[in-house]
Amino acid sequence: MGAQATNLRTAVKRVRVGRAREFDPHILVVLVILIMLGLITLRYSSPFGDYEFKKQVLFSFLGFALFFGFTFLDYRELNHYALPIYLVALVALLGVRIVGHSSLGATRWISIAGFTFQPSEVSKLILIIALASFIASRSDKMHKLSSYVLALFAVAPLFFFVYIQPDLSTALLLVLITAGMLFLGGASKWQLGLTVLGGLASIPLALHFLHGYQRERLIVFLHPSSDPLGAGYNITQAKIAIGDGGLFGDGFRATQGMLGYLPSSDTDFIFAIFAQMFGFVGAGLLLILYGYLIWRLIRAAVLVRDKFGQMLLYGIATMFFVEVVVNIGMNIGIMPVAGIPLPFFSYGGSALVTDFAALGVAESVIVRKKPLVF
Amino acid sequence: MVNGFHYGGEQPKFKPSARVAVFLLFGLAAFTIMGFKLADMQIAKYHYYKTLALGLGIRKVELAPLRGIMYSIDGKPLVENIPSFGAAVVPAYLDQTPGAQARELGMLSRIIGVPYSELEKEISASKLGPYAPITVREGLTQAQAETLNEFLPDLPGVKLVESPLRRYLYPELLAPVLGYVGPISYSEYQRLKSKGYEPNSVIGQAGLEAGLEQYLRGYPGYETVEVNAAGKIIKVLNVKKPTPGDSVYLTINLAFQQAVYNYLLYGMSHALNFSGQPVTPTAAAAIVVNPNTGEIYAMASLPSYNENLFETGITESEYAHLLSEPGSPLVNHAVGSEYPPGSTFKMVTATAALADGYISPSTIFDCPPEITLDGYTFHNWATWNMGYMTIADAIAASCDTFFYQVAERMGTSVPIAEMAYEYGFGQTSAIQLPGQVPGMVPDQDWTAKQWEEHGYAPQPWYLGNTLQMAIGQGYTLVTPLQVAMYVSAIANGGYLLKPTLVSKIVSPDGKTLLTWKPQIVRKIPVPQYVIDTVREGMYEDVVSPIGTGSQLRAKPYTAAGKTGTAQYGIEYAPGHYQEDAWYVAFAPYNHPQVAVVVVYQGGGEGFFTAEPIAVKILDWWWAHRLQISGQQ
Repeated sequence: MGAQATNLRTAVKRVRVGRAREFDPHILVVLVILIMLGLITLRYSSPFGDYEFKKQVLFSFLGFALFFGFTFLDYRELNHYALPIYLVALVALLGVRIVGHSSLGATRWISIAGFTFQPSEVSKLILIIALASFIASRSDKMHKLSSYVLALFAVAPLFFFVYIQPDLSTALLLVLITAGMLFLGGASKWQLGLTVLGGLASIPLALHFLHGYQRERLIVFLHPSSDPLGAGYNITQAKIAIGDGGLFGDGFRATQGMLGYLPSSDTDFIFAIFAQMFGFVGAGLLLILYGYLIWRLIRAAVLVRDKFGQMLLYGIATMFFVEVVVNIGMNIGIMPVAGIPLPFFSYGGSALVTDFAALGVAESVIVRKKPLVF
Repeated sequence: MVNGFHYGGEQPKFKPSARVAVFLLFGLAAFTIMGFKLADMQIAKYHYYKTLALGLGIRKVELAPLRGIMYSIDGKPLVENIPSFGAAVVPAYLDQTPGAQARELGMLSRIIGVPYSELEKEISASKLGPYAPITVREGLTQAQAETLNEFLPDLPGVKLVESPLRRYLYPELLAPVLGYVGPISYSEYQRLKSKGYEPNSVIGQAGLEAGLEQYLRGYPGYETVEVNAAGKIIKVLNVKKPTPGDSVYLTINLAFQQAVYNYLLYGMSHALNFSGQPVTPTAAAAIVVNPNTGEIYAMASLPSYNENLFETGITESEYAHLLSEPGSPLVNHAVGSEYPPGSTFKMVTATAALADGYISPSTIFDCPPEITLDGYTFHNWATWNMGYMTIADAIAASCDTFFYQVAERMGTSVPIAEMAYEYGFGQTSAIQLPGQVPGMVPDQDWTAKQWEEHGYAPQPWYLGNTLQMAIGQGYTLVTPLQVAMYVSAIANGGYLLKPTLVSKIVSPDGKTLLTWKPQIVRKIPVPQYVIDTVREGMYEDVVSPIGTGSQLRAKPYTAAGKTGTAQYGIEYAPGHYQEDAWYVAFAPYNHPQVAVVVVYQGGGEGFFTAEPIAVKILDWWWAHRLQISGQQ
């Protein structure tokens, strides 16, 4: 029995640290390709590309450290600390309103020790952790109305604080992640139906509260010809850049971003630059890379037995899915303009390290996915 | 398994639930739609977009606002914007074949008259990336602009840009006050780009041009244009006009400024030292201010410079020359230079001594040629005994030994420093000028720190320090503007006012945005009789037989004044030290309307050098006082 107890202890420990054999190298390979393509594109995306490239490289190193750090960390620790993490995030978002930096009328940055970061970007991952923890704790009661209402109440403060940054785009992203996780996590059909109806019903109300520029963007999306030179200017320029890329792309010739034609070419519209540089071949490959990444996450989630881990994977997959579709959709003109960064491409440290950390958490679940069977 | 447990065992089968299947199908649909849309844009409509990208680019072009005009208080423009062309280089469009670039820049250099090496240096120094136009020359002559226009087809990387030029209508007269504008620097651009500045914007670089930037700048507009591959505008699609900057009416009276400037210039070649020998001042400043409102009628600083040089692109050697000239022409000496105040500081000492009860207005001391304290001998400027006198007489006669005896009563405490702060010394003012210096009011803490900083054990404040400070010598340093506001405070009965160069700001649509109203910084916290006694001392300076302001006697107006001659360390001949010559005055004594400060750096004796200029200024004011007051 003594030997057996020792073996059991080793086995439990092994589950805690995970098994290197289970690590999904596909995710890491896709991640490395994406970040390298992203950095090259950033370098040629704007007249300031050189400077931003160097900064983004530094953040990538930090990102890889976070990726491996989270892989080694037992993700179940996140379940224990889900509530405190959630509360800290709320305080940080509130802190932005009080001590934050403003940029173009929005206060989204907070400065710590000389580094500025954007809590609303990190809030995506926080939401996933909090919601996964909640759904896992009520996994057998998710179809009940009380669970559904409680879940909405739990995430409402986070939406609200992100919304008042004001960062409507990220708030909307949070709503979509929540919807995806509730759907995959087993909320009942009529609950989901009600949510969709409620969402549709609140559109007129939301329009009323939209900031001027947000309303303008929405109108431009619905009627692109209404103002091709004002608010529609960005989309027009993005489409020109993408179309100009053709089948194989323009390569490293002057991009629309470097020529100064395309605003936000280093952030929201960086996909247009990528498509101009690498053409349909490159853009198609990029779609496949993102799709494969999301597929690997969903596939792992289905195989995982632990409900919390599974919900984390669903949440992370939903997050990447929504970000990619909203961002690229906006660039090619099939989605309204929204300030959602393209994962591993858009310039910005907070979003980048959050994306790295999210994949680290995913790997942490994957390496510990095999349950101990007696 | 022997031990009764094992890990997971076989790979679990991938069996997605219905919901996951829905999610995956939805995702697949979304990605497929995006793929089709991309194919449509990049393959089917490739030529359409290619044409747009190459041939018919739609561009936003910034329209720089016209900069606001500065007027004198009597409504005469001091500066104007004149239409003008400049040359800019876009490095990315320069002919990249080896040798061709040198040929292109060489051609440009010959046309616009900027040395080749300077062109190269400016281009390599730009941090804005290869596609940002770098303005290499502004203010091209008509002939240069025409020639450049003709050769543009051979110069792919060169652009002819329209850039209104600032022309100052009275060069040198107000240069250190008005300042000049110049291209925005990289760091300024990074800081200000959210406020609508562009990499090639101009921005105020010195003087009021910098201090009033937010009013003078205006708001840029833009036009959306279609351009062809060569960057030529084919069609203007949409225009948002820029808003010009505000008009700023200064408090400067143009005629008065010209008079003060010319008198000050005259004094530069008529300076004498104590022995009556000519000396050559290195710099000078004069300020005329309304002591009841803080409005500055005239502010002159010498040597001056031609600010229009900066507008047409000052060459490096010209700029280096301005920087190395001994009188520092680029510095506005009225606010940006610190001088020992000499005897003009005695009113501070008198205020402190009276307010703290060390003496009363009727306290009488002797005025011997020298006194000995702690084994050191301290001299008066006069070599004879000037007799017994009160504090008012001592100000008039500028008796140093009287003030030594007052200082002796103060001992090593520093009521003088405290009073100096009250009068506004040792601090910058709220005037609209950048480049102010605070001056220096030394006290115990400051001296202790000085010893320590130079590696010595801190020494106490000695009685000798108080004595020196009492007559405006020692470590005390002041700016002419501080002195002007201090004299104004004495003139108006004890109110330190905010100085101003701006009387009114009017927006382009004719709305008055700002009208100057006198603002009190503080009431000097002393009983009224103290200020009255000090005022009387300055009056005595003019009317008393022993007064040093005798040149203001027998005028149709009654003035009050004070001389100052401040020694500073440099010995220009054996036994002769360089001196700053001061005269301060206000008039009329009963209802002051004007206060004057004149100072010559290295100008010798205040009585010989500064006082005659102050007299000329007051005479001019008297002759024109009705026009001046009529403008308010």
